[in-house]
Amino acid sequence: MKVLAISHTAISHGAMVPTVVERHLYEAALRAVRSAAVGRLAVVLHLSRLRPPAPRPHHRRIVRALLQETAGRYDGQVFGLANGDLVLLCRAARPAASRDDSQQPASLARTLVAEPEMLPEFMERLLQADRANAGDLVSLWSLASEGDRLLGYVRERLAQGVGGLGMSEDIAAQAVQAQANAKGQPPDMAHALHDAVAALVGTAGISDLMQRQTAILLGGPSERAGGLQPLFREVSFSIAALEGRIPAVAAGGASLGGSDPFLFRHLAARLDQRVLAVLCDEIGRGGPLDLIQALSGNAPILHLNLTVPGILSPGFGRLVGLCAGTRLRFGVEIGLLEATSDSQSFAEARSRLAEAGIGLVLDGVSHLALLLSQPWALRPALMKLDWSPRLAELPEEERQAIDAALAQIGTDKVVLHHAETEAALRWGLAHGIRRFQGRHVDAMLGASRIVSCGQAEACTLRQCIERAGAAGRVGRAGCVNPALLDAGAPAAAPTERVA
Amino acid sequence: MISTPARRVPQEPPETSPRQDALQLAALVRDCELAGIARQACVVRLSRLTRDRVQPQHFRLARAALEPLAHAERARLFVLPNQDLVAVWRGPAETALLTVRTAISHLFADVESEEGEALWEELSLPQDSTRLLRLAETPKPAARIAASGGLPLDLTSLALLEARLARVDVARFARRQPVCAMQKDGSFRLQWERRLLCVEELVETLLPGAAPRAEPWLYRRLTRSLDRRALALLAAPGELDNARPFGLELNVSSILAPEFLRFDAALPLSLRGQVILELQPADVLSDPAAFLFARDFVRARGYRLLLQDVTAESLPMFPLPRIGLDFVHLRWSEPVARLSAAAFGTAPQTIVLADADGEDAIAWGRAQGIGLFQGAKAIETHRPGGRTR
Repeated sequence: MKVLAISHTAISHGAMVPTVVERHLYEAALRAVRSAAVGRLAVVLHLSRLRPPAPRPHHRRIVRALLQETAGRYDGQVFGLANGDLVLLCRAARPAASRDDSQQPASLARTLVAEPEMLPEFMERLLQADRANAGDLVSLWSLASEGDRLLGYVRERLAQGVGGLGMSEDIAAQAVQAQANAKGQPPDMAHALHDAVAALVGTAGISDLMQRQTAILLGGPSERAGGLQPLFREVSFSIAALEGRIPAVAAGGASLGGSDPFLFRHLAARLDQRVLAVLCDEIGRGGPLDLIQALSGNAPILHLNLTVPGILSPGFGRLVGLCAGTRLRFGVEIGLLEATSDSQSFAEARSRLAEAGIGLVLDGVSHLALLLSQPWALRPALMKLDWSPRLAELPEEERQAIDAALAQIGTDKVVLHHAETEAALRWGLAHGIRRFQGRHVDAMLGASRIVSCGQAEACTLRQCIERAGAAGRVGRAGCVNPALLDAGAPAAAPTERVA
Repeated sequence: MISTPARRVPQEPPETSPRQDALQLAALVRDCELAGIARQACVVRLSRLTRDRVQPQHFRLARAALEPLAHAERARLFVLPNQDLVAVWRGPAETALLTVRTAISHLFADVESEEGEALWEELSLPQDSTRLLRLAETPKPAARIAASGGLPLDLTSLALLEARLARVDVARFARRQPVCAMQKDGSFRLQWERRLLCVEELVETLLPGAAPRAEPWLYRRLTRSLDRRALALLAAPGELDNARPFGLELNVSSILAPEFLRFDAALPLSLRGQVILELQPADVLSDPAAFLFARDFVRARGYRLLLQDVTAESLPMFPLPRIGLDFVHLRWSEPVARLSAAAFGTAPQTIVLADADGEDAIAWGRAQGIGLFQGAKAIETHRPGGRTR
């Protein structure tokens, strides 16, 4: 079972106090400029300009090691600044006259140690996937002729600290370490989390730990709700709800979202068993997870995001058995990571879905995964592409590769997932995608409900969105028109309100 | 509902193995029978749990539930190879037994046994010695154990395994597998050796009875610890002196870890450009940004990269030019035999055909233009000491 809303915790560099490192750098730069240090260079690696969650600990570790090697070869020194940037002051490898000569980073494999002049091109390429379009990632300045630029840069760093209450470098380093720990929590912590979640999912009120989200076809043939045609309603565990019930997380000592991805997949396989049992139990009870609701009106079918072992389990067979011979149906989504981890089991799971008449929905395809692989080879009925603002800023070559991949899959099979903003919808529509799922869609559907509901005077849009997303009865408390929460899309035209 | 006590620190299991426990239980029962000594016993029949309902924590929690009996006179706990738990004690222990009985009934309140059999039995020695002996001597395999060839890892046993792994000398578990290039005359020449730790032997030594691969995601997690040990082993002074080119399976996160930097610093110049790093597809896709960073970093350091454990089904998903790697490791199988080079999506020369143990695999590979082989046939026939590229 998928658990939504996993995100890395970015380390904020916004208000860090410059420390002794900045002052040492300033003095070194001043000395070099005053002595008109011919043949000396400054290389500034603006890691603070990477897109969060970068710079991650491995960025700092590897990049610093590479700079350190160059420093060792070219009489240099590396400064790690409080905002995460790294600065190398060193001797130039080549005379200034030849500095513009292009030299391919491939030569790095031969020399191993990068010449300082090669660093900008190499680092730009190394950090390509994490860079934001906010200025150059690397600055290369000759101290003799461009020393004032370095001084200006260091003065900015120093000025950041005036009145600041942020982190010193030590504290920043600790924060980075904490981030590293969160990514791979120690086994005993992981164990505690695992036990806590296992206990939680064993409780009766498990549906209150789950959530629903509707995917839509935008501009579909339906005239209801301004052309928002519901496609399906995905059911998943809510990480916020799970974490809210675990004391260790509430105390700040652990995080499910920051836990090891492999442990997380292991946990997901365990959650599947419970969600399949809940779905079986809920049939005919009229609740938010009742498969029968999809038979009435225009309510969309429920989609379960399952692991491969979940699909191969008896629990899945039981649910399929309950639906056999009836009009009950449901959809199944499998994450790309899950599908590629054990191709033999995945093939068995796909056969089982086919036998049950269920099309495969491939979930969790990031744009980077689409650039690296060909997920359409798995022949999904639908593929959910994760929206990222980066999609709108890709370099030309990658943009073309994404366009080609979408054409290969067919945009009528693509759902733009995590469509949290209007920009996501704009990008999707510009690329021929009309299927969307995400918070922006939730808001659109919520606004439609509010407008058409005759008893919404006391409701806010946020409340309506949260209630529609709740999979348990507790989360719907306060709504006097719960049928509308389950409907696929309310009528576009507002109905007359009851006073 | 199953209550789950918090146990953050993994408990060391008894030093005896389940097989030894079974022998000791049988000996104890025979002694009681011969001497006519009265003892009480209770059995938690975990081997009777229905396969799809049994969970790793059941084993752990059931053991914890038996704790109150530990204070009874001459109390002993036996863990049988099928994971049945047997507690034997002497004298009165009614209060403790009541506590245990209640805890076990709560623990398995919503769990079914195979064919509705009882999960809890109380026996008296010497009267029930035949029954207890039968339990000790002919254990029926537990559902999960039978399915996987051992007890699947859970987080507790994984933590224990990782803790023990940190203390053991892994050098004796190191193995090599040759990867050979086929020559024009059909003979093989060594290209590189895969260096790996024999996980099954290592785990059997550190945690007998565990099936490390039965829980795939926990196994992936374990491989990170194994990576660190393998890198430390290879970075040891003298370890790579006069070494041949080699391949090493690593996680992306391990390539980005401090241990890899130390390994890289220790790599002799003669091996630079001669080391192949092997990555799993799921690992690549679990964090593509980290993979891209790691890929470009190690390429700049002269390493080549191989995509490990690709099958006929997953081969079309990963054309090498798209993912930017040098080799793909394709396991020989019946579905692979039905593929033709046109369907590879990647140059045949870059494919390492693994498990190529028979003539059919070699013949198929040769017909498709595949140049690199791994398996018994290649091992048998390669010319030792052949020059490598």
